[in-house]
Amino acid sequence: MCICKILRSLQPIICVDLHHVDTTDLTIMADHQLNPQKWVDKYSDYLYNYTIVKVSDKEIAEDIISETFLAGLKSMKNFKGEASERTWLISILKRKIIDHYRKINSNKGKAEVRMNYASDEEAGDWLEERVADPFDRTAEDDLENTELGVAIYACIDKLPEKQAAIFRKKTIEGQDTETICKEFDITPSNLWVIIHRARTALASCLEENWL
Amino acid sequence: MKLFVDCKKAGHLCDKVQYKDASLFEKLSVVVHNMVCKHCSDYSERNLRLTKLINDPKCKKMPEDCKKRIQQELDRELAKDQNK
Repeated sequence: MCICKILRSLQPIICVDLHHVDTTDLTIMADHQLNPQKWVDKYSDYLYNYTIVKVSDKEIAEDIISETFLAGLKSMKNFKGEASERTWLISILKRKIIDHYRKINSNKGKAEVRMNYASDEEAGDWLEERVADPFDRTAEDDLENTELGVAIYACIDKLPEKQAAIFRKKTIEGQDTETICKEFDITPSNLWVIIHRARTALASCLEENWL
Repeated sequence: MKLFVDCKKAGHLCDKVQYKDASLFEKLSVVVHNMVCKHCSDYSERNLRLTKLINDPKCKKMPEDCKKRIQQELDRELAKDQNK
């Protein structure tokens, strides 16, 4: 995949001028919360699918995701709750991917991408300070339409939390019914009802582009 | 155990088939039900397509050891924050 193309598609997100955003729009939904203990369980596969397409290397993808979570922890205080936890993590991830390509390019003496602050007064640690919530929704949605793995994990993330956790364990991790029932203190019948609901919701979510 | 099942049961059995958790008799129940029920037959087809999508090599999964390593890193950092 062409590196320049990826960087070009990501750059507008970074160049948003915060002064031009109408803050009244941002007060509409501020009810999202961060729960870093569950990030790996809930988002690692989603971020992995997102990253592997961009960097085409498993180990690099793993490192970038690890860095993303740690950067997320570091910048938790900047989370305003205006975007979902996943969207916020994706906005950090995108910057980490750009960092990765910048590093490669600068190693070759070809660095072309510049991350500019809106003004000199704001200069500083751009990533941790500028992980704004609301600007990446469109870019993320576009990608959901193009990458199967990302689309599937995005749809799983839309399920109710318990349903998603059980579906992940049964379907993605391939755990047996008995183990899951013990862990969640449910009967096998309950498990199959939950799986049925999850599969129906997932099929509807993927219907338009994939089924 | 009955060979002729209602739509609700057929739906759950169809899900079990996707996970290879259904017995031969349960599989047969689904086949028999689908022969007479267009709705469940459509559901089965859609369910099968969903399974194929999830198992598609393009849908990747982060290795478990990597997840564990990252979780440990996160836990360490969170513990540090709490101790501050």
